[in-house]
Amino acid sequence: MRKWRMLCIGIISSLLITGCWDKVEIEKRAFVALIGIDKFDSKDGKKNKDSDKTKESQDISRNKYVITIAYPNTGVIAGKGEGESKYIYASVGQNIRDILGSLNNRIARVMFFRHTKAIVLGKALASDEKMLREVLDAIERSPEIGRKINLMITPGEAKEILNTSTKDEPVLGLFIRELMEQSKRSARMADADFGYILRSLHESKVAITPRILSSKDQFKIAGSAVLKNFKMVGELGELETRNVMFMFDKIQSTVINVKVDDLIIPIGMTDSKTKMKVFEKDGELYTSFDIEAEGDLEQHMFEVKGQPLDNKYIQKVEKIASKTFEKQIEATYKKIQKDFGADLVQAGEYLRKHEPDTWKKVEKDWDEIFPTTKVKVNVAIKIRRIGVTQ
Amino acid sequence: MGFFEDLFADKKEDERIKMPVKKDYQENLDKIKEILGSCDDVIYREFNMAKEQKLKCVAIYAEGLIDTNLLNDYVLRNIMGLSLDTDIEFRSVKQKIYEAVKDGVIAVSDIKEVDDINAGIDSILSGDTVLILDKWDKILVIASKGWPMRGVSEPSTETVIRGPSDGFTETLRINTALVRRRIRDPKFKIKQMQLGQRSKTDIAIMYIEETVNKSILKMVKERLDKINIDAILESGYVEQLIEDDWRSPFPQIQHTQRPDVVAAGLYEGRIALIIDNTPFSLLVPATIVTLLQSPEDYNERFFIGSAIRILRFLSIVIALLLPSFYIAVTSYHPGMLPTDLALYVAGSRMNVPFPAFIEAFIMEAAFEVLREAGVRLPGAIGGTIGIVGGLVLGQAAVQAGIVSPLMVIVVALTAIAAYTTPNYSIAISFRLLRFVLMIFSGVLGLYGIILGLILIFTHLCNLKSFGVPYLSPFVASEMTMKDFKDVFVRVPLRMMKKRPEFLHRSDSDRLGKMRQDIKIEGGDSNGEE
Repeated sequence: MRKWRMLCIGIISSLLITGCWDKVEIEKRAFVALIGIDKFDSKDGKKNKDSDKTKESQDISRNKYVITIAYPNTGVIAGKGEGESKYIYASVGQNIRDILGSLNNRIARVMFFRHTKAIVLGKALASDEKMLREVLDAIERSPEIGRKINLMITPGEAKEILNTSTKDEPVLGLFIRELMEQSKRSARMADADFGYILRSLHESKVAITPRILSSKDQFKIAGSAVLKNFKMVGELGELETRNVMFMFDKIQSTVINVKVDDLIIPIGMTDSKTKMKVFEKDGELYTSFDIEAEGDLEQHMFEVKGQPLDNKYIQKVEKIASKTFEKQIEATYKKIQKDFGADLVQAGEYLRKHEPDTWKKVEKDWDEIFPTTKVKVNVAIKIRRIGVTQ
Repeated sequence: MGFFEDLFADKKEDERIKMPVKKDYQENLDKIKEILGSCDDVIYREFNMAKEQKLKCVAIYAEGLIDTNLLNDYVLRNIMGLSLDTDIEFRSVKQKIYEAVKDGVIAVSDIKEVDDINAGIDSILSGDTVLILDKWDKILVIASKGWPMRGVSEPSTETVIRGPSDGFTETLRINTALVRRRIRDPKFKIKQMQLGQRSKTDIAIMYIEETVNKSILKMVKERLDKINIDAILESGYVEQLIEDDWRSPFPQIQHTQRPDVVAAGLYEGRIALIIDNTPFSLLVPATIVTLLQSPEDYNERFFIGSAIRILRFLSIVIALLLPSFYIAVTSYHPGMLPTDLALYVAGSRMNVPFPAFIEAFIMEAAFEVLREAGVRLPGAIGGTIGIVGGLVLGQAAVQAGIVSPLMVIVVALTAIAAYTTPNYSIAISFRLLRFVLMIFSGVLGLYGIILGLILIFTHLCNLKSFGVPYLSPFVASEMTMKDFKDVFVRVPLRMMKKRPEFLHRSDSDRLGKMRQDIKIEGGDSNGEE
């Protein structure tokens, strides 16, 4: 009995005396939905009227970053409270940890990053190698931020994105997540989460990230930014990004326009599969993409008898579509080679994994060799459905 | 056969203090009156018979326990009608009583000659009539039991939709009959014994000789013999005195009000104990799986039976874990929730003055209070309590902002889920453990829940019911693996060819080869390979 009593006291006290660890009630947390990180600019300080602060914030040697966070007013979401649907706070400082610390002094809640949907980087920051490496490292090390969030780059400043108020979805982060989901259908933006970016950067020092643009009350996630050697080296347009996504075999659905005779026919892709290969032939390196895609013919001309139903005609459309598409992808590949010299498609990785002998030869000068590689694209587009007309 | 006879041989016979019946009528009567003094319900009906009223005679019985019609019309009238002229002695009285047997009113076995006054007194108190005749050194015990009893009615617990609706009553004999009606096998044995120094409660041990596991039967008998208590008022008394581990929160013996459950248990090779004066009989051994089964699982087709059973297992998980999970997620791990839900929960908890743990504890405790009040109140008011408590209080608490609406949903869901368990005792165990887990989770979050579950499972692995592992077939040997056919799903009856293995019973075949000679039209008639 004595033994039992001691055991019980031991268990209970070890439970109760040690306290409640990291217990924070859910309503006491600030669910940071969106983080914006910008390079500090001395003109940022001028807006601040508070004289002491202004001096401090103008001091470029001390302040490197501006971090803006946004979190939703949960009361509004549950239909309980009133007021603004989101809170936005910004602070400046030497490094991310510092800034979050100083933000915590101003927010009555505990910041919580598990539900963060996106981190937006300003272009100025992304173009600075040292700062981008610092930021990426801080995010990668953080146990709270997962690999599924989206790292985006905006051509302007990140805080502008955060200050945009959308009418549709009150929670900014959720809005961006939904937007990402939707955008995957048109495939005009880089389908790249933080996990991919990290992996790609670790492996080949190159990656693409989605690009986010904003106007007064609208967002647009389209196109992509190209990172090379840990800094942003350029941007890809929407169609180019789509072509890159085809190379990555990440297309779910998209629309391509094909000019047949004097008609421009949109073909809605429903399924696509890409096989990439890198091989050596006659002393030259080739990168080949075999793309098999299926799609629907979505528009022709009213009252044109017979044509879309005609097997030969369909084959002709398929052939032209394939050819057009081959050219587009080739062009994009060449643009990547020429403009960025960056091995975005990870041909080097492919060689390292599948052709180690070849890789050993080219490994050292890969940065020089990649822009000289040849590309071969084989596209086979099949039209499966032509829709119903009378 | 020797085993069973040895086991139930009455070893207590010698211990009883005998009080021999004397030839002197008055002495016998005085002795009984002395022992049964101040028992005003015992009636002494003295009368004289024969020439000059010489033969003195007394009928002693406890009023209310006997069938007065039987006594008056067939016993007393018969002997009183003896000629007053002749000189008769006790033998002819005896003869007259035995004549009643011929009329078919009393069975021969209902009349006993006893030479021990203590035995006679026991008989009086259990509803028999004792007849003392002058100048005879024996007394006559006539079985005349007959007291008002409740008829067979639907059991108040363990209700099923499809299945018999007769339930046990408070009378042992009716209960054994209800089971016997389901097992017309001479190998089905009912052994009776008495327990309780004062209450002398009848207990029937029931088993089927060929399916029962002898060592378990022996264990049951030994544990029953060890009981030394003044009174057994309900089967719960027996249960608590013979269970393996009284410290465990889990019931290790199944109780049931349903004769079909008892019969099914007996066919499986288990042992049933029926206790007088209570409609709850006991089934041993019990495992956690048997406690979660309902007869309906077998009465319905196996799709439905299995689906319902899976549902029930899910409900137990909900009943045990939902509140603690709610606490853990809201206080420690909001990252686990989908974002939209997390934001909603956070919003709905805004301005709630208590931490989730206190909130959950208050609400769960409040519900338990309501439940208890509902049980104690008379039926008509019980329903009102449900409405006042559940709807009005819940709604008011949410509107006052003391609890979050989600908490009310959690409490309601747990409460309802707990009621899907057919066995009341194990449902209580889970309800108790729910509070323990809530404390664990309030202190350590999910980590605490897992710790608590490890503790519970460690205990469960250790627990046995009459030598059978409580968790079987989960803590399985190779043999008991076969019992999984009847755990989460109930396989079709035609696949249940063997009795459950966990009892290690002797006769294992439940289902023989289906009869080939009967052809059922249109379809495969046998379903056997």
